[in-house]
Amino acid sequence: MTELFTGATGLFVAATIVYLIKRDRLQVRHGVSWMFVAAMFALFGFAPSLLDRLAASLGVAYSPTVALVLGGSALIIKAVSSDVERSLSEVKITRIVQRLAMLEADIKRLEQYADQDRQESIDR
Amino acid sequence: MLETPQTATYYVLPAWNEEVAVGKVLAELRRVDPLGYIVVVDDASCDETIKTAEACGAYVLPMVCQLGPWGAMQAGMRYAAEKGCRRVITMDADGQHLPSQILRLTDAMNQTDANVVIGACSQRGSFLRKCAWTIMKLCSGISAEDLTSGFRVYDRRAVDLLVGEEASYLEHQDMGVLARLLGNGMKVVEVDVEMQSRVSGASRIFNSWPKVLWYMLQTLLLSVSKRRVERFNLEKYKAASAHD
Repeated sequence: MTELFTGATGLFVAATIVYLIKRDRLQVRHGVSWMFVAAMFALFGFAPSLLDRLAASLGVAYSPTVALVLGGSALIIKAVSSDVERSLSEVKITRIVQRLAMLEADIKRLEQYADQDRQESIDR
Repeated sequence: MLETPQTATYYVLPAWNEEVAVGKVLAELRRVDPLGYIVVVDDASCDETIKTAEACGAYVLPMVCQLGPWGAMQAGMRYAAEKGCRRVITMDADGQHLPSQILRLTDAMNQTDANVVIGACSQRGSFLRKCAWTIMKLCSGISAEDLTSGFRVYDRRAVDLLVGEEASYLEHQDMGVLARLLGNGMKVVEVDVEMQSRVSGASRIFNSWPKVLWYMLQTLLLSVSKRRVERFNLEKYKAASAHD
C-alpha cells in the first residue's frame, strides 16, 4: 500500500507539471527538474527494493532515510537555483527601469527643444 | 540619445523625497560649475522632488519604481556614459555633500592620476556607522577611512566598469563597488572633505537597528565573498589649503 501511495504521488506530481506547462503557467525549463523529482518518487515508490539496495550500498541501515536526504537535497538545490533565477530577473528589471528613466529624460528634453523651436518660429 | 560634448563632467545625484534640500544643492552646484551636466535620479519620490529639480534645470531621470541608492546611482552613471561623459561626480541630494568641496576631489584626481576619488569625512560617522565601518574593513581587506561616502569622482574607465550588468547585482555603493573597482586594478584615492548634516530626511540605512543589522549582514557576506588575498590600502591625498 505504501508503495502504491508513494508511486502515485510521483505520478500526480508529474501530471501536475505537464498540466502547468500545457496551460503556460510554468516554463518548460523549470518543469524538467520537477519531472526528474517526480520520476524519482515514482521509481522508488513502485520499486522500493531499488531504494533498499541503494541504502545498503551506501551503508545506511534504514532505507527511507536515503530517500529523505536525497529529496531534501534536491529541494535545497532547486530553491537555490530559483533564487539565482530570481536575482537574474531582478537585475533585468533594474536595467529596464533604468533604461526607461533614461529615455523619459530624453523625451522630456526633446519636448522642451521642440517647444522652444515652436516658440521661436511663432516669434519670427 | 541626445548628444553632448565628450569632455563633459556629469553630476549624478540620486534623490528620494528631497524636495526641501535638492533646490538649494542644485543652485549651489550650478554656481560652482555653470557648464556641468546635472542629472538628478528620482528614486520614486512621493513629493515634489522632480518638479524642483526640473525647475533648477537638471536632467531628471524618473524611476517608475524604487531601485535603492545604488540602482539610482547606476542609472545616472549609465545616462552619463551614454552621453559620452569624461567623468562623473556623484553626491547626495540631501545637502550633506558641499559643492564647494568638489574642487578638492577633482584636484586630487588630476594630481594623483586616480580613477576614483572618494571625499572622506570620518568625523561625520555616528557610533553605529563607525562600528559598521570597522567590521567591514576587517572582513573585506579594504582599508578606507570613509567606506560609505557617496561623494566621489569617477573617471571614464571607472564609469564604464560600473555601468555593466554585473554591477547591477549590487545594492549599495560601498563595499561591492569598491571591491569591483580595486579588483579590476582601478586606483582609488581618498581626500578629506567637509560635510554637513543633511538638510532633510534621514539615512535610508543608518536610522534603525533592524535596518543596520540587515545591511551589515548583507555587506559582511558581500565583503567576505569578494575578498581577495591582498589587502587594499587606499592612498590618502592631502589637498592643498588654497582650495579650502
